[in-house]
Amino acid sequence: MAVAINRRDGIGIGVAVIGHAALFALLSIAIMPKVDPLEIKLTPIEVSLTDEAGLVSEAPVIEKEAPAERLAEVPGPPELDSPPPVPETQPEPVAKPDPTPPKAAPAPAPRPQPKAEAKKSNPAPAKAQPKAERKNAKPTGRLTGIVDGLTDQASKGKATRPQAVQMGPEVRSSVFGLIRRQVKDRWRAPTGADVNLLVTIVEVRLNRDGSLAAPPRIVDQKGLTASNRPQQALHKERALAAIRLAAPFRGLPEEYYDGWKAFNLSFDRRL
Amino acid sequence: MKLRILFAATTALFVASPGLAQEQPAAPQPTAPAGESQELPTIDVTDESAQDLTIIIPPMPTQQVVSTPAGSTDALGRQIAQIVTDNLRNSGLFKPLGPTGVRAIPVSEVSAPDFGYWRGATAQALVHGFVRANGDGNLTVGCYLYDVALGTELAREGFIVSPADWRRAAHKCSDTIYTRLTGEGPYFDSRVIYVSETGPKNRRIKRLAIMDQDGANHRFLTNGQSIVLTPRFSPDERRIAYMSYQDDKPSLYVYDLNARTQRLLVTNVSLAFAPRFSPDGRWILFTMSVAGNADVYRIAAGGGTPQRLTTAPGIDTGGSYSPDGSKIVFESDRSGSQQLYVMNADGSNQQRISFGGGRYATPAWSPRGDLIAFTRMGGGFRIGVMNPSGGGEKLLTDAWGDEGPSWSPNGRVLLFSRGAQGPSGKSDIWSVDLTGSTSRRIPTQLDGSDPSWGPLRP
Repeated sequence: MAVAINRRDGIGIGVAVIGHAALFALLSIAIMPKVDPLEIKLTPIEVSLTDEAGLVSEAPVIEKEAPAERLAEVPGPPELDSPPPVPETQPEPVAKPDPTPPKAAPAPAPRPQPKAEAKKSNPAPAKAQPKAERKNAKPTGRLTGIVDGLTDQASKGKATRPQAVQMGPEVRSSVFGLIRRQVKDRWRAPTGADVNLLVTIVEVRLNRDGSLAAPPRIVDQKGLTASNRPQQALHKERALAAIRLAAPFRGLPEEYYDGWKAFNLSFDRRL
Repeated sequence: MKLRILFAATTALFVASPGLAQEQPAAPQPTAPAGESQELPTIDVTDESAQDLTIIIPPMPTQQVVSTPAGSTDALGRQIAQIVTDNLRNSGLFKPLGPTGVRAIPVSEVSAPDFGYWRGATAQALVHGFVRANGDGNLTVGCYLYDVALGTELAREGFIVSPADWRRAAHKCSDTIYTRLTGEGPYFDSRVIYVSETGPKNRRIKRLAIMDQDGANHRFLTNGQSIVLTPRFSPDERRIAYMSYQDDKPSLYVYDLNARTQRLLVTNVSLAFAPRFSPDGRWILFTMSVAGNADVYRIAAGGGTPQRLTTAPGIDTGGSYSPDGSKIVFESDRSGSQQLYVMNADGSNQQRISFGGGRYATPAWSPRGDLIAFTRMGGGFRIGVMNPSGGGEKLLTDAWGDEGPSWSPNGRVLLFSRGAQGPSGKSDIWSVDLTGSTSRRIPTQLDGSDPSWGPLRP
C-alpha cells in the first residue's frame, strides 16, 4: 500500500513537478516576451509625460533667448580686458534685441505675467539637456528612459524653485549681464588726469520688482591719486546717479531673486 | 571792473552731493553689516563711450528789451549763450547744442525748466539764464545748470557786470557749468599773454600781446621796436615779467598792466632769460650768465640784488616754483644733457627727476601741485607731464616742434607754442587737455609763441 501510494504519489508528484515545470516554463516563456514590450510601452507613457512638459518647449523662443544672453555675456568679460572696445560693443547690442522684445511685453504688466514667463524660462534651460538625453535614450538604452521619467516627475512634483534659487553660473552671468547693460547706459564717468584709475564700488539692494530696496551705498573707492582728486567726489555722484536712473531694473527673473537682491556695482572708465 | 556774484547757490559737491547724502542714511541699514558687503557679487560697469557730455544752451531771454552800451539785452542774451557754448566746446569735454537751432525759452522757464521737452533732445545737461538791465546801468546775468535726466538743479549763479564786461559774465557762467560738471576748478575767466610775431625770419617783429582766454579783447602791449621774449604773468595778474633786448642788451623788465608802464629790473649782463614769478608774487626767478656760468637767481619783484640759487657748472635755467613756494623745478645740463631737477626754494637739496630718453626743458609746475609740465626733446619737441618726483611721465602731444608749456589756472589745460616744420620760423599757440585727447589751435591775428596763462580773474 505504502509502496503503491508512494509510487502513485511519486508518479503524481513527478507529473505534477513536470507539469509545473512545463507550465512554469510555458508561462515564463509566455511572460518573458510579454514583459518587455509591456514595460517598453509603459515607458513611452512616461515619455509622453515628458512631451507634456515639452508643451513648454513651445518656448523654444525662450530657450534660444537664454543662450543668446549667454552669448552676449561671454564676449562681455573679454570686452573689459581687451583694448579694442568698438568691435566688441557691437555684438552686445545685437544680442540685446533678442531678449528685450519678449521682456518688454511682460515688464509693464503686473506680476502674474513675469512669473509665468519666469517659470517658463526657468525649466527651459533645465529641461533642454534631459530632453536631448531622452531623444538619445529611445534608440539605445531602456533603463535610461525609466530613470529619466523618474527624475522628471520628481522635479515636477517638488516644483522648480529649489533648483532655480541656486542660479547656476550661466543664469548668473546672464542676469548680471542684464543689470550691467541697464546701468552702463546711464554711467558717464568724469574725465581728467588719472580718472581711468578711479573705481567706485556701490552696494545695491533691490526689491522683487527690481526697484531699489535701499538707497545705493558707496562701499569703496580705489585708484585715488593727487591728479584725480578733483574728480573723486564727482565719480561717486555719477555712479549713484547711474543706479538711480537705471532703477527699476527690468527683466530680472523673480525666482532667482536671492541671487540678485543684493550686489556691488564697480564703476570705472576705460577708453 | 565791477563784477559781483549776485547769488551763488551752487550745489557744492561736498556739501549737497547726493553721493555723500546717500552714504549716511545707508549706514544704519540693519541688513547690511560691514562684512556682508564684501561677499556680495560684484558687477563691473565700465564707461567705454568716448562720447562727450551733451549740453543744451538756449538763448538767454530777457524780461524787458533794453538798449545798453553793449547792445540790447535780448541780443546780449543770445551772445552770452554763444560764448558759453564756444567755451564748453573748446574745452573738448562737451558736446554743446545751441543757441542756434534750440527752442528759445521764456523768462518763466529759466528757473522752472520744461524737463519733459528737453528729455526728448537726449541731452544730459541744460543751461538756462537771463539778462537784465539794472537801473544803475549795470547788467545782471543769471546762470542755471540742470540735470535733465534727474530733473534737478545742479548750480545757479548770478553776476552783475558793467556793460563793458559783459563777456566776463559769459565766462563766469561757463566756469560755473564747467566746474560743476567736471570737478575741475574754473578757468574760462582768464587772460593770456604771448609774443605776437610777424615778418620774415631774419627780421621778426616780436610784440607783447594780451587777450582773453578765448582770443577776444586782443591788444598789443609793446610796439615791436625791441624784441620781447618769455613773458610771464604775476599771480595777481597785474604785472608781466619778460625779457627784452634793447640796444642789443638782454634785460629783465616788469610791465604794469594798470599803469601801462614798464620797469627795468636787471640789465647789463651777458645773458639773462626765463623769468617767472613766485606764487606769492614777491620774487622773480630768472637765469643770468656770469663768467660763462648760467645759474638760476631770484630777485625781489620790486628790484634789488639778485640772489644766486644754483652753482653747478654749465647751464641751470627755467626755474618754476611749486604752488606752495617751497620748491623749484629747473633744467640743468650738469649731467651732460638737459634734464629736470627739483630743489628747495633756497637752492638746497637739488635732485634730478627726469631719467627718460632725450632731453627735458622748460619745466612748469602745475598750480594744482600734482604735476610738472615740460618740453621733451629727441626726435621732435613734445609736451609732457610727470609728477614732482619724476614718475608717471606722459607725453601729451606728438608734433614736430611743441615747446614752452603754460598751465591754465585750474591745472587742467596747457598752452604751448607749436612751430611749423621747415625754415619759415612760424609758430602758433595751441592748447592741450591734460588727458591729451583734446588739442586745438588758439586763434591769433598773427603768429604767436611763448604763451603764459594768467590766473583766474578776481
